[in-house]
Amino acid sequence: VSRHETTETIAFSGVNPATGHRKSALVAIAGNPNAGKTTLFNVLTGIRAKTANFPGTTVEIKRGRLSSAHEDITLLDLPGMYSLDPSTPDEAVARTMLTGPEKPDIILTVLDATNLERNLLFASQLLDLDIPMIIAITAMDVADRRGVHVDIDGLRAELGCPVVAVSGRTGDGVPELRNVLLTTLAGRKEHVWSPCDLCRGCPISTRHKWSRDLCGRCVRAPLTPSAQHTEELDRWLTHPVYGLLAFLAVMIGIFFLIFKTAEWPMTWIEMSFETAAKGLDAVLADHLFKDMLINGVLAGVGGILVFLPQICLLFLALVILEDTGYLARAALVMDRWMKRIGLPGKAFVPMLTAHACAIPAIMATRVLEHPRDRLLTILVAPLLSCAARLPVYVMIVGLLVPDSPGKAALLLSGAYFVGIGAALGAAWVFRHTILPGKHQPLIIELPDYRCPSLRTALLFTLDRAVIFLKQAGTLILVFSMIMWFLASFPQTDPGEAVADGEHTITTELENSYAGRLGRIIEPVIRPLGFDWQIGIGLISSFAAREVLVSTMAIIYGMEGEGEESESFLDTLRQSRRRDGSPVFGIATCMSLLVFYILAAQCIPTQIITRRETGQWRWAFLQLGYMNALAYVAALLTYQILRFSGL
Amino acid sequence: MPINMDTHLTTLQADEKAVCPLSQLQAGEQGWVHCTTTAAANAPSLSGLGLFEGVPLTVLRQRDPMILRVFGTRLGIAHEVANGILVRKSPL
Repeated sequence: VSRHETTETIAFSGVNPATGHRKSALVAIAGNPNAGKTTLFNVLTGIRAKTANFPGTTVEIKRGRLSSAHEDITLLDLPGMYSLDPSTPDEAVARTMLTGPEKPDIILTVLDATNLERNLLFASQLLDLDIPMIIAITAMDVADRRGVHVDIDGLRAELGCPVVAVSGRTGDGVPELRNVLLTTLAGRKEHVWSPCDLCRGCPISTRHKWSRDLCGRCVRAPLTPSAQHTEELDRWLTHPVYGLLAFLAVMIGIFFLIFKTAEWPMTWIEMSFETAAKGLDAVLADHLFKDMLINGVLAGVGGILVFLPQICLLFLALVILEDTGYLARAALVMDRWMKRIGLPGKAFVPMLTAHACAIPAIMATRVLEHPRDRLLTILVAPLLSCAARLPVYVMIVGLLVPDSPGKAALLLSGAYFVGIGAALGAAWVFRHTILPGKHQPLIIELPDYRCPSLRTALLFTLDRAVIFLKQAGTLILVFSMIMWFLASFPQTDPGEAVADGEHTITTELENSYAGRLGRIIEPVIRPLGFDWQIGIGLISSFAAREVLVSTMAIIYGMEGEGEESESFLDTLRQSRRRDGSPVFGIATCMSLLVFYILAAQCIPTQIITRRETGQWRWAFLQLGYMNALAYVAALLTYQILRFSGL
Repeated sequence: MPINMDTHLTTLQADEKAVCPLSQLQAGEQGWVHCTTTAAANAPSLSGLGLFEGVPLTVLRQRDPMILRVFGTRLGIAHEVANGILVRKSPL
């Protein structure tokens, strides 16, 4: 491989030749995963970056403006990749972006100083593209500590393109990089890389010889530069037993922190929605519009927004774990367990997340590279017991074992285990039916442990929060309105309700479309031990599962009293059918519990599934198979318990 | 004891047994990648990650998934991929 230097001005002038207008200059940031690409992108663009899916795919590309620059410069953060071979969706998208009609004006290649020889292999592929390049060398401080010295001037002379040492964490070298970017774009830079024809598509061994020789000339390193601390820590953190224990400890710790820390902001959100509802109630006249605002919009969107703090904290924790390098170790430790059911080790992260809420879990499946593994995880994640199921579990467990905390804890844990078992079982079934093929065998880089960048973590979290809020503000809002409509129409004449001597709200609900639907589905749910009132609860649960508890409170005329209070549970317990048998007998309660563990009743989850898979059919499959499974399991539970005389 | 490299290389070239699947290398052993076979072909970016002919590596952990030191970094790699990578063991 050889190099030519020319004294031509860089082809890019930023001017559209057809129109003569200056167009926005495009700079693509490319590099191996863990090379420090995203940290550098964040430093260069600030918080003005936007994440969007590449059209027709779920590969995310971050796009931002170069801050404090007078010129119109757009930066693209390409997915981290090891080569330009389109073997993964990320690499295929990156290749399309680099070679397509809108190819960038400059590639900013990020190379890790501690692993320059391998990073240069990828750089050599980028050099083949005939696009002007600037090279940013990161992790110089770590290289220094290991006694590795990189000759930046030497590299610059050898490569014939600007080479800058930078640190996205400390900001060192960033102003210089920014200047180099601007001068290169302005066409003032005289040198330009012109790759040699011999190198195009040359075998990897030729590329390696080139990178090895280049490093031989420009890098001074001890014979075996090793990351002693990393390897020492890995001895414990990747150990089959200690590694597993460490992983469980980390995850339980994170969940504990998330649930504890999220309590306050969740209360604030709930309180502000309540205050808003009270305010509207006081200000607006009694009208359908007011009812829609309070019971449709505020209740629906508030009910889902309350999970925002948990979602943000979870993503913050995950991105920090990833940035420290620990997540790669967790994937390694979990791989031997997860592969038995046909999932890669990394799938454990979204599956754990699903215990808080299926929505961030589905969003977190982006850690999985292979589309089939992602799809499989998305399909089964909602089977894991999310936080919204907990109030329902608590209600049913309270009905079943009122005076025995020990048994209650056992039953509650049982519910979680049924969910885990069902998710693993469903994953196995899908892998052997509609999503056949082996899971991607593990091959993962274990980067050096390092101090995470809080800035990167916060920006990533902000990004996820915006995605979630957009969903809550659009599709979820529409769905909340539909649910409100079903529960409010047709309206009952107030006089009629009083004449019946019944609770007005109860009568309204009975006469509503939701109530009528409850009666319509009664023959279908009767074999599960449910009557039409529970039917209304099931239907209203489609807004969010925990609504069952408040619906039950409304139906049984207990609105306004504490839903977890003993009087509420007593009322439910004392409810009798026409034949005098209790409505909430053991068989019905167990059947209801099994149904709520397995059923897909959270439409926002399906909306996110549609968004992440790009197709409605997967959302419908998720909805269909989970509810079919829930129906059959609840049917068996009820009939077997009835048969046993319970 | 000093090793006569010339004699050693001749022995290695003659001895085909020196080539074995990567998964058979024990912790602490070193080798060079001899070739990657179709068994490992479905693993993405093998060469991008630094596993291609002529690359020296050290096994840090043999147990599945194994851990290697390649170039300046470490790779975690399942035995089913490592089985498809043939390596030439280097003398200790």
